[in-house]
Amino acid sequence: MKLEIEYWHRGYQQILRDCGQDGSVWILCRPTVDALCAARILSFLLRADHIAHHLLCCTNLEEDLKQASAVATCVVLLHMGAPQNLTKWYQGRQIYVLDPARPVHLANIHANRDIVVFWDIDETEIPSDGENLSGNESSSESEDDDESSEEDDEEEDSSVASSDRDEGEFEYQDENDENAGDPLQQQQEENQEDSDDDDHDDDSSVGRAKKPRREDEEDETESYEKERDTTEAMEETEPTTVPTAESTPALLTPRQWQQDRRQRIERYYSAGSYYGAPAAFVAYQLATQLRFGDHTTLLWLACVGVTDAYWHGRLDLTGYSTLALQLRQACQKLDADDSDDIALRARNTVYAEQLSSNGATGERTKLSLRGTGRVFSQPDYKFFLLRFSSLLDAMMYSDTVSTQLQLYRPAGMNKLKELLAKMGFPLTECQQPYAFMKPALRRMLASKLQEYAEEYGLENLEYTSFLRITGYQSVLSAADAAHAAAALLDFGSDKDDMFNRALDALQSNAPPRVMDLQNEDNLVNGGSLTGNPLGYGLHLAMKLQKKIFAAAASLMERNAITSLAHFRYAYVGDESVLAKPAVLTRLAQYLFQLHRVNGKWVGRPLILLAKDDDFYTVAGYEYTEKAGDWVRNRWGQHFALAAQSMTGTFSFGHDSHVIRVGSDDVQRFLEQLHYLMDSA
Amino acid sequence: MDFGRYGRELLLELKRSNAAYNDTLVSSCLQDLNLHVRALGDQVAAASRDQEASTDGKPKLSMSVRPSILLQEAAIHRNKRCLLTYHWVRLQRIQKQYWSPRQEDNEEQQQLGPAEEEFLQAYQQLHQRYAQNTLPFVDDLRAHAGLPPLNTERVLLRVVTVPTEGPVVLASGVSVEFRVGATHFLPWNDVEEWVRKGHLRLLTGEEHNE
Repeated sequence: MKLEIEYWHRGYQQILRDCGQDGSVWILCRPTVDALCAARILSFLLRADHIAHHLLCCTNLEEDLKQASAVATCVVLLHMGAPQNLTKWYQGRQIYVLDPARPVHLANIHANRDIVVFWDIDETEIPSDGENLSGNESSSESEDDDESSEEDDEEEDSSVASSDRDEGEFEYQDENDENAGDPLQQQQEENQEDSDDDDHDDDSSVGRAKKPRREDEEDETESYEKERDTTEAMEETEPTTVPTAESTPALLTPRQWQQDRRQRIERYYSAGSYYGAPAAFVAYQLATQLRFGDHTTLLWLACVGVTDAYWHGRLDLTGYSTLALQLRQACQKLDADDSDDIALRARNTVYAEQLSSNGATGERTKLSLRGTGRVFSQPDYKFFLLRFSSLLDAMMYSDTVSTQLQLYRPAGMNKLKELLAKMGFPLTECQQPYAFMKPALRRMLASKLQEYAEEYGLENLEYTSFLRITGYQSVLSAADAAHAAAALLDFGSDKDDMFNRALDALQSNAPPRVMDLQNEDNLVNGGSLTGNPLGYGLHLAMKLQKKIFAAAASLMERNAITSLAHFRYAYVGDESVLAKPAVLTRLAQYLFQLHRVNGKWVGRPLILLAKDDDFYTVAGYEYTEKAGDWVRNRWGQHFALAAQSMTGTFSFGHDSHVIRVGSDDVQRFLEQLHYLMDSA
Repeated sequence: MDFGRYGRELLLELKRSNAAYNDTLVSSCLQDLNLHVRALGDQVAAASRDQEASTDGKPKLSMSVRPSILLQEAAIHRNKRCLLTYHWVRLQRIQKQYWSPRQEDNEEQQQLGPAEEEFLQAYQQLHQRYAQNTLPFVDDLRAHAGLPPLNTERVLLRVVTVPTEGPVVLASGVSVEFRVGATHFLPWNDVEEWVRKGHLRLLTGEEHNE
């Protein structure tokens, strides 16, 4: 069932109710920064309520769900599970899903209280419950198929691994549930979810025993009537709807209605994948609905999660602005000092004269306050790790500056140096760590950029960011924290180790050391991770950004991006870190922006291929007209179709637009993909 | 005079975490510091004499002597900072070693100089006196180091090594299956023994940041 935003606290109350004294919650967390932030928030809530819980990094959802089902009272999935048919793996435990990935599999939405999807605001029309919730039946099937019954069959895994359209089993449930009066039961009644489903298997290639026709007709009529009721209810709330065949179901025969429904399901899935609110934001909203709205650490984690979603292309500019506004309001609510002097607050300084009632003027007495942990919002530059590197490096490795000035060319670097010179910033100062730059120059930066940046085409250099005071005059931005944690996740081969490092980095309230990010060995304690995981993460983040930029430059210098009729594609390289989906996403965004600026690319999407042991990670990205826009990604369907139409070794991950293809099959896969798109 | 070279070498010594106390280097640094102090004293005395002898009557030292005086002062402060840092870091490591006698992976015991041995003995005696006076029923506070306060119900922990294979039902009734690297929030009474043995490590949560 989908749990609307105003009722999220009921889902949590149900968790408490289910666990009781000796139950436990399993939190299966995908290794992304957003999921880690959500995990920390959720863990905080459960600890406050003394609920035993277990947090695990999950890379194989099916196996981990089966393992969790044996011991857990309920399972929470963070940043995964929504597009997969969870009813296939459902073992009788309650599953709660906080996943921004859309579209959500219809079986999860119509699975009653067994699977609860935390639903943010989404105006997509949801097809009703009934047959073929996976959308695998085509709308042009024969009438015999419509009327034939289907037997119960369990599907077996094949070499073509499950896509997000796999069929599922639907257990018949009584309408009268056992636990009347519990929070989700009330929610369900309010949503008027239907719970009468028959068992179906939608795989038309498997032979089926036929059920009596009478049962099918009764089922169809029942579903038809419910759909009509729902449509009529929608009509009541939307009186301006233009009358169509859908809105006047009384004119449709059951067969026509079935066909119409099939088309709606197909439209639902074929519209492409997209993302809703980040899991960390959802978890924070849940916390505010409970009694934890005044914890700045939870707010900070939400800020980091939202920022991570923005920088990794899961939120467009509008979405980020919307969520940032809400978080900013939360910051202002928690921070009683509403002073406009942000720099003053960041320096943890007030003046004694401000505290006295007479408001004396003249020379003021500075008082330093601790203020550690406070979160505030202010415009920040889109420079990369500015506070932990030099101004020159921060601008060089910033996506915005690098793409606009085309820094991969020598002429681009000259432009950057020229800009700095015009601003009056000596190059030697710009090469110093920003924290050690002359204070006068740092104070001038904003005004000088405003004066000269436009001349070089550098627009929109600022965005609404969130900063946290981590120590005396020490500030950490949400973007820096997100980049650091993401880099810790991307580097390293031991997934649990990477996961825990990133988890610890997000927890750390200690200021990361300002180290020389150029010199890997320049660490006082020899580079120990235990000392400061956040600091090490920042170091890896810069290293990763350099690798991404180097990979992009290499592709362009070698003219290695091949253009076909329907898409462009490029083999990225052999480094294992570049085969991570999140890294490929950043590389794709960078390439798109680079070619938008130089006007060479218009319209065609991009596929990136990166070698990862015996596989290739293949990721497809849609082209957008402007940076920060979002277009629904249809590559999941194309990949699934290509994989099904050929033999080979394929594996889908959590993201539908990413597929792993065996090394021997990748070239044929690309050809097949092109052929299918050509013939469509 | 080397203007801080020995101080820099002391800091580089710190990178070698298991290096012995470098008495020679510390002596050289102290000697360098004394040379700078003497040179500063001489320069200030000479400048004061010149100023008294001059006829312009200006109360401040002339600009020509200030850079060298500032340089000497900076060198003195730098040497002091390096010496203090060297000793402070080594003492921190000794204390950490004392409180965590179980060695971490790939971390060797620090070799101690004579003065550091004395410090360790004095620290141990101080600790034992405190334990006897405040918690007579406790033999060694180190056994309780890093453990949660009394009356703690549940703790947040991470699995370092799996204490028991397969699903297990704890005394409180909670079912758990341990996996290396997983994070759990479990009743303290059920997991205390595993924590003491090192299979599980205690973590701090967000509530400690507020």
